[in-house]
Amino acid sequence: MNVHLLYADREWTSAKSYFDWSGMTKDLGLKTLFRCASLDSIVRSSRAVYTEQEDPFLGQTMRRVMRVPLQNEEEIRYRQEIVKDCLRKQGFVDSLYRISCKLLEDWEALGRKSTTAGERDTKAKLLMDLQVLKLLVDGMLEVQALFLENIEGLSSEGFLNLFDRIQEELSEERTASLNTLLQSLSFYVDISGHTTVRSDYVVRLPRIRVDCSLTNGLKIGDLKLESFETVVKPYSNPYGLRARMYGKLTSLAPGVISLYNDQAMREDAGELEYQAVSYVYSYCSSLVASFGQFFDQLHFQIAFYLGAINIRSQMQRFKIDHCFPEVGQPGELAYKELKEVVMSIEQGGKTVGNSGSLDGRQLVIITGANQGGKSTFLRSIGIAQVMFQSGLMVAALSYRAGLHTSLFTHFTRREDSAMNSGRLDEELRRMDQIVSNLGEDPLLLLNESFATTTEKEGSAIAYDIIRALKEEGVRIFMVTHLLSFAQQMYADTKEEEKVLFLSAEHLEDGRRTFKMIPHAPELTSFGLELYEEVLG
Amino acid sequence: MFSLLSKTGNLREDGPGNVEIPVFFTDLNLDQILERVTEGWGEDVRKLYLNFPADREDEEYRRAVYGDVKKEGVLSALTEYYASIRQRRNVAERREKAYEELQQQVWYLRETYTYAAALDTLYEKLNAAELSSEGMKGLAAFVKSCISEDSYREMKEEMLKLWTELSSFRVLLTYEKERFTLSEGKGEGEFEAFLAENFPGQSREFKSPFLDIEYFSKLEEEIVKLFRKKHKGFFKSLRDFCTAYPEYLHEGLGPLENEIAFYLSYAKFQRKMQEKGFAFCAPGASADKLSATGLYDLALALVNMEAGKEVVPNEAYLAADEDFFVLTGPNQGGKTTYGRSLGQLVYFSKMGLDVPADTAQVPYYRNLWTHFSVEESAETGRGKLMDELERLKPIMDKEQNGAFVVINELFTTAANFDAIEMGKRVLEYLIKQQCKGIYVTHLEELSTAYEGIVSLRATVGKDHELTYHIERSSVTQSTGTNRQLVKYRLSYEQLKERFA
Repeated sequence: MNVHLLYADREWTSAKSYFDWSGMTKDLGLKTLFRCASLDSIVRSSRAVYTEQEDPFLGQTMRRVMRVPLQNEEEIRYRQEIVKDCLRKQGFVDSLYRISCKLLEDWEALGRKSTTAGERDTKAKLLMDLQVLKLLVDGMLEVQALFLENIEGLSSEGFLNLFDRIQEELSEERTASLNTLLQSLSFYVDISGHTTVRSDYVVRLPRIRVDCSLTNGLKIGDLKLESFETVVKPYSNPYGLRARMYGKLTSLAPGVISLYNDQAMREDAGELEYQAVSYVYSYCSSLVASFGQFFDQLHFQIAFYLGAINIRSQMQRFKIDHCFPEVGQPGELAYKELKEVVMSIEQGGKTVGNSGSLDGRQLVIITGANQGGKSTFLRSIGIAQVMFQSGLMVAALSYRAGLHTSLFTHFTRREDSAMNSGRLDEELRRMDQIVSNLGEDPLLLLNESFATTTEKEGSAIAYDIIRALKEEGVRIFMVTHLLSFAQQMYADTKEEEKVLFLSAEHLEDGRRTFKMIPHAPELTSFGLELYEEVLG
Repeated sequence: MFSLLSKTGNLREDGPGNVEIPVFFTDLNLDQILERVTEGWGEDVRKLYLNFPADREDEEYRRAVYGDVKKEGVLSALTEYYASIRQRRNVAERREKAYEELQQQVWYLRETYTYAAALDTLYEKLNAAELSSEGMKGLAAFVKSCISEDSYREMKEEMLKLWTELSSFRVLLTYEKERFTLSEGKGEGEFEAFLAENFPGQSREFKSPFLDIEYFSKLEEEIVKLFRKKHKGFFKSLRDFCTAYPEYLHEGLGPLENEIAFYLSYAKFQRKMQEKGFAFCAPGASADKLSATGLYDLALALVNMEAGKEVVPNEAYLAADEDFFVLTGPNQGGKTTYGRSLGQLVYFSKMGLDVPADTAQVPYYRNLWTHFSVEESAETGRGKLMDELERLKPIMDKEQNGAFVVINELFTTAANFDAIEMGKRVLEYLIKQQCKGIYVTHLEELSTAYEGIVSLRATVGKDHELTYHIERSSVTQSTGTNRQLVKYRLSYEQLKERFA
């Protein structure tokens, strides 16, 4: 039984993830997004209720799913459609998540993980297995009922196909045979639900018929279960007069052995009961595995969508414009009012958006004033691309981009100075790892790389590396203060259409707009002016 | 006597395994490997791994047999056959443990039935498979001769009659309302059909709760009572059968069972390793040069597999006119591992089995000898050098014509000058004896001591990190423009090269 809400054709596996995801998370500040996903802000009425209750599992799930980028348009569409459904049917998603949470909790309470090696296959284990079977069947039926209630409002392929699979798995016939089985097992542990018998006290007794051979040295073998059911009867005293009479009388008939007063026979009967029950259960064990896996996956996959709703709620709350991005051709990149969503959320929405069209620009070098919004812009591109390639909405009025098989960030990490090798050494080692893992069609974001050495040496290093990467066709966004490098590059490539130089806008009067405009690199980064502004 | 291990049927008596576990077993970590290979196959099978084939013909004979064993059809035939051997042994064990004579007789009937069915299936399957080796063809012929013996056929006929009757006995056992009802007869199978139809997938077997106890349970006693009364004729014929045919096993089949297990155990092990991505290949054995690619230390692979680490594969090439590898290089650089993997290559090739490598050519070597330096043996109180020399003595004394020798670090406690001199003498002697092999040492002087010596080095990376890679030594160092840039292979030229 598959969930297939994250991918149309498979369940979740953490394959093909970004290289150095934890580094990327830090560089792009994604932690805030994960926290937003954890903040339960479901619309319970017409107005959003910001309960600010935190469910860390939602954030962890978001972190794990975002880590694996979608690789083609169909995959992205598939998720976007489901997200749209989720936004329309938030209560439904919420209930689905609660059901799976509750079920997994109950399962754990039954001792899902406490299978110590010695206890397996004992009678206690069988009792638990039967209870789990009941739990899972009930859970599946609950999910089915929830879907039936909500199916009208759902239109995504993912939910509709899942509904079809549930209907097939729990067709009327199948539900009936499941109930028959649960009922027949109920003498062993009561998992059958209500019983209607007039007397207040009932007993459940087995009726088991077995067909066997004698080829095993005359011991019974080759057992076939002929019938297996539970008979519900009003309670009567097993040591009472009726029972005694009955026991005495039956033992007189040929081929009949009464258990009355025969401890050895009673033990044999108990053993046979146990074997018969575990045999019947064995037919359900694949069902248990399948349903169990279903709920594990459902819990995880629906948590992603709940997280998506929560992130969107936060964007709404701070009035950050957002949209479903569009998949463009390779090399395309056009955006309107693109914001760095992490910073926007942290600062309560008061941030500047950038608009632009960088179609076909393979190498973008960003220079200019300090505190001008360069790094913010670089991050906004990175975050948007990561959210885009996990099927989420992005913080822009519109966003259209080609897909990258992978994304790398190479940011100067000032906090990493504790490394035992020098900082430049550490930077170069990271670069080496990135180069080794580039793959096809990657996106590389560099933020003040190679600034841990002199400007001259750094420029030389950057010139070697960026030149080779550019010739290899790697898409690069680079924020840099290495001005001799930038000018050298500019001199080499200003005629090329693939290369673009951006700069943080800087008005005549010295004010900064935090917008990126095409601009040739200059020799100053206006540090002096900032100095003036702060200290002057 | 027909054997799958030897063309002539004469197993090598003077083989090292007949005396004790040979030294090279522990030196090459073969003991660790074979523990895994023969896990669950029993001591008798393990012993077969201790003996080399008697001569070159037997080595080829085994290689051909193993080539057949790997074929899907043959492998499944032998697997199935071996499973029924085990089953039969189990039944025999139960028979011996049974309390009542009647019960013993019924077990005996089952034993003979299992035996006959196994032989028939083996014969059929071997006939259907394409056999190319002399050994496997011989096995098919041997089985054929077994099943066409007159006395065997008589016994089989009688056995089948009884077996059919016994199999037709069915008991219907109803348990309800605090009592059992027994009757003879067969059920309708309705409930099983309901289960199979509505709950498809794997189901377990409905196990009898009394299967594992030798005596009859109370319930079974009652059943037996019922049947003895009703089928007196059957039980009489059964008693007569057991008296008439007290033996059923063919002479010569017993040892063959272990020989089959020898090949099976390795084939299963090899398959398991291959599924985990470790390469094996059949060595081209008629070569006069030793060569291998993707060669690795199987024992290390087993250890690393559990730790989730990879092994570094290496190459080896020793031309016909070259005599000895001398391997030098940094400590912990994979030298000993390389020596071991060469030794393992020769061992498995000599056993006629597949070797742990991508490709391999292994000439015929008369024997395999190893000498590894050990920690000073404290209990004897002798110096290490003395100890080494004494352990070396048997190797140097014997006629070692054409053996493969793996030596790991000789004379580490001797003075440098002495060590070099002694090392040279050992090498000279071995080369004169037409031995081939590898000498792992820290003494670089040895690598140029004689013509015919191939010098190998464990290489190090640019940053002096260990690569565990072994190469023929001719190392040149290059220097780059920016030291650090070059170190991480990030200069323009290096990057262009990396992308190429």
